[in-house]
Amino acid sequence: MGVFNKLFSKKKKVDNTAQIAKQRLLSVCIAQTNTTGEERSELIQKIKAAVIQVVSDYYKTKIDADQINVGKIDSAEDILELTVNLPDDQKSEEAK
Amino acid sequence: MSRVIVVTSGKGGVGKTTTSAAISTGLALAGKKTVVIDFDVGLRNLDLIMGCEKRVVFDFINVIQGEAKLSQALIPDKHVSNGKLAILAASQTKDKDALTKEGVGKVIDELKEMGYEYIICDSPAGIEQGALMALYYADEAIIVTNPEVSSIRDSDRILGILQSKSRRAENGEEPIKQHLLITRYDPTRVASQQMLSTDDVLEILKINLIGVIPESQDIIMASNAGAPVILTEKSNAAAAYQDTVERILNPNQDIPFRFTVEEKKKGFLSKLFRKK
Repeated sequence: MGVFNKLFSKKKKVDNTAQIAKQRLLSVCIAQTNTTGEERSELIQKIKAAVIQVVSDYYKTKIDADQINVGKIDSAEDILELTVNLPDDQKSEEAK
Repeated sequence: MSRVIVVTSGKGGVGKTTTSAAISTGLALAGKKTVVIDFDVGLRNLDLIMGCEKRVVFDFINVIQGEAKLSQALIPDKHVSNGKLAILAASQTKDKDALTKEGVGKVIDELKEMGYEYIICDSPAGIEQGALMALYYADEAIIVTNPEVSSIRDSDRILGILQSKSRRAENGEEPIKQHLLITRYDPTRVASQQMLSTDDVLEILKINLIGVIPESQDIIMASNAGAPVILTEKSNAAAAYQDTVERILNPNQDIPFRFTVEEKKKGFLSKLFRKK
């Protein structure tokens, strides 16, 4: 590279990738097992709200957070299991 | 009282063996009777990093299978002149299933009886038998992580395993103390937002930070020479490992983390007129 090129060339633009990496990690890591009880409870409430939103897209009757049971799969230490109890009449109506 | 410390990570190539070698050497230099065990059956490397590869006669598996006495398999380290450091090499030929819970437990108990204050278990990568055995008897864990996505995710997985698959977890005892060691840290890239910072990593993994080792050419030079990097003079990586050892020895002492902030480059004039 000549002297003029060196003097007047544009610097290569560098993307700030650290924050992208952080966000991606936060979404995949199960570090929630290391979170405090309060943080975990807040997280579960957020997950429940998201599930309610998804269910409301497919079913007419609305469900509330009490109809979602939270558990853990015994054989795996890091898999959270959510069970949604749908009203029977709603299920049969959808089946028709 | 002995402390059994596993050096683990999940991901390969993050610096577990370099860390095991550096920390065990640092502890021995501080006068602590230390043994470092290679759990990587079939792919041993600790002997190379410690520079004792030509002195391996018997190995860990020979001891477990009763083919040699523990005293015959322990290799005295030549870098630490006080005789406080020994290495127990892994087998290069045997099956990793030869590492049994009972066998490993018996060897660790015998090392404790021999008066070893620190038993450092150098874990292989992955989450199979060797890695599980390396962490099973641990009192503490050093999780080695690069500030990079795949390494952090694997460390997160290892944290879950430590909490469920160790002897302490099985017996419902006090959990393994977990410490995070960040390696290959480059403050310049962190400053330009191209690398996750220590705070970012801690926010994700949520465990106690025990050391930050800067990216350094000294590490490859040390492994080339078969001498733990902590012995390298005027090396930032060696100084950072030394700080880590101090934190292991004095957990209640507040030792500042060095080499985590970008060093400002000196200008032309200050270079020209600097005082010697």
